Amino acid sequence: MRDWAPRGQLSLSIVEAGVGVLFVVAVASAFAFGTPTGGVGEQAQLDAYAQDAATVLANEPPQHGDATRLAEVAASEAAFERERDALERRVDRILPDNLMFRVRTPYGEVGHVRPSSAAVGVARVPTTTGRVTIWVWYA
Amino acid sequence: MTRGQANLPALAVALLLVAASVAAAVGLAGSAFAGANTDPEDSRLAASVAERLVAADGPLSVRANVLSRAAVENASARLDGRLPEGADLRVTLDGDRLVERGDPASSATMRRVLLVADAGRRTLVPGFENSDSVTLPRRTGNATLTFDTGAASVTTVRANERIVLHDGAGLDGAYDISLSRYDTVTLSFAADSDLAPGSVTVAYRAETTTKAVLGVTVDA
Amino acid sequence: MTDSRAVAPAVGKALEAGIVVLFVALLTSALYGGVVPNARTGAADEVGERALQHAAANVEAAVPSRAGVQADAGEVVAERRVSLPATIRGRGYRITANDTSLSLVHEHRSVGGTTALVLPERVRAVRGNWTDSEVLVRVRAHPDGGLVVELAEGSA
Repeated sequence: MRDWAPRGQLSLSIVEAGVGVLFVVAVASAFAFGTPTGGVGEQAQLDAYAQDAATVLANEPPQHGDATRLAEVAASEAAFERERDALERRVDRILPDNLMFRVRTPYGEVGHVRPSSAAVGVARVPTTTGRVTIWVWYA
Repeated sequence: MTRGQANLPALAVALLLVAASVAAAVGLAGSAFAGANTDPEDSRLAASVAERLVAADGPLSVRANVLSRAAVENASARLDGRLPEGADLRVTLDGDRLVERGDPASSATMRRVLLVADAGRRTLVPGFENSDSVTLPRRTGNATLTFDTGAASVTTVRANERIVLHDGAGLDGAYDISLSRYDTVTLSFAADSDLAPGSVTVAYRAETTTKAVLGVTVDA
Repeated sequence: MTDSRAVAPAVGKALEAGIVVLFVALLTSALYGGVVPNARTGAADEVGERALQHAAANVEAAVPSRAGVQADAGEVVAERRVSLPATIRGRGYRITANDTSLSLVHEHRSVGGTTALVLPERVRAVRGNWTDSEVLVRVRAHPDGGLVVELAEGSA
């Protein structure tokens, strides 16, 4: 039965030490993956951009009638259809080039599709017909 | 038969391994702590100063998210004493430095999008060829009308159907009227006879806005 | 045969166990003596700084942005709830306001600090202090115009 060479003894201490080292490494890995970077937070910056776009739109003279550009585009479905291209162009011009946006009015939406995995800044403006929401994210 | 003690060196090696891994973990923790020092003060101050400058009652603002060009050109004087003490900071507008104190080396920069308004004074002298009214090409909040009508006398001036000036004896001289900034205004003049070109001068302030990006960097 | 025999396995094991226990005791005392308190202080310093900045950001956000708010003297114009950590490094702490700055006061000497507040010109004074963890910022109108910001405890 005993044909092969005598088996070596695996020292139990080394096995125990291996398990101990594994535990310590497991604890160390909890803080080895790094901490969040400093600087102004991405979410805060995006929210600020969205708020700025909303404020600029809400205080602008309109193209045709009504009180402000935002009130005009949210006034009725017909007004929205008429103004949507101008709205999209205006928001595109206001925001820096590296941002993409989406504007939702009570009568429809303009802009790109919101990403599900990136940080998105949001601003909401109440108007007489409903709420206008602007989302902004990095392209 | 000496196996009983052969375990001791193995034990010593094992304990050495564990001690070494603990030391490595402690070193890693130290570097993690150093990395966790994200300096929240810098980013909070940058965000607050940017919010202050952009607000409707800010030192350079005309209204919310709109700065006045004249104030921007005089920014260092206007912002003197309004910015937090004891911190190096830099305020830029479209990349041009408005205010710089010290040498902020931090990466905490807050950007805001806003408009810069240029208020230029324009004068319009209506020709009155076809009608007794004139439409101002730019929206404005107020205007000054100067009448020099000679024989004809203008009794009423309407802005978009709203009466802004009325004098039964005839308007003469210069009058300031206020208008709605959000509507394009048509001024119509009611006079007892045809008006000659040049008898009325409309002076108004037209605001042209340009978009700009404000950046605030703070290193406390 | 007995002279080349090693120590009995039981004694050998007892020796090993003793060495391991000694090692653990040594390691524990070394860690708790220096590494752990330093780490706690480092973490407390960071938590204190973040708590102070969180408080300052909330005080600034509490001031309403409408310039022409008409209110009677002493009337509360705005209120805002703030959540702060209950303790830092196992001890309570105090946040004090001093018109243009906010300070965190803690028993441990390396925890604490002062930071500037960026407020509109309308705000005449900021006063009060916080010791709780659920607290309020209260903005009142001053009789001579302008606003006064108070740091109040949550239940008041």
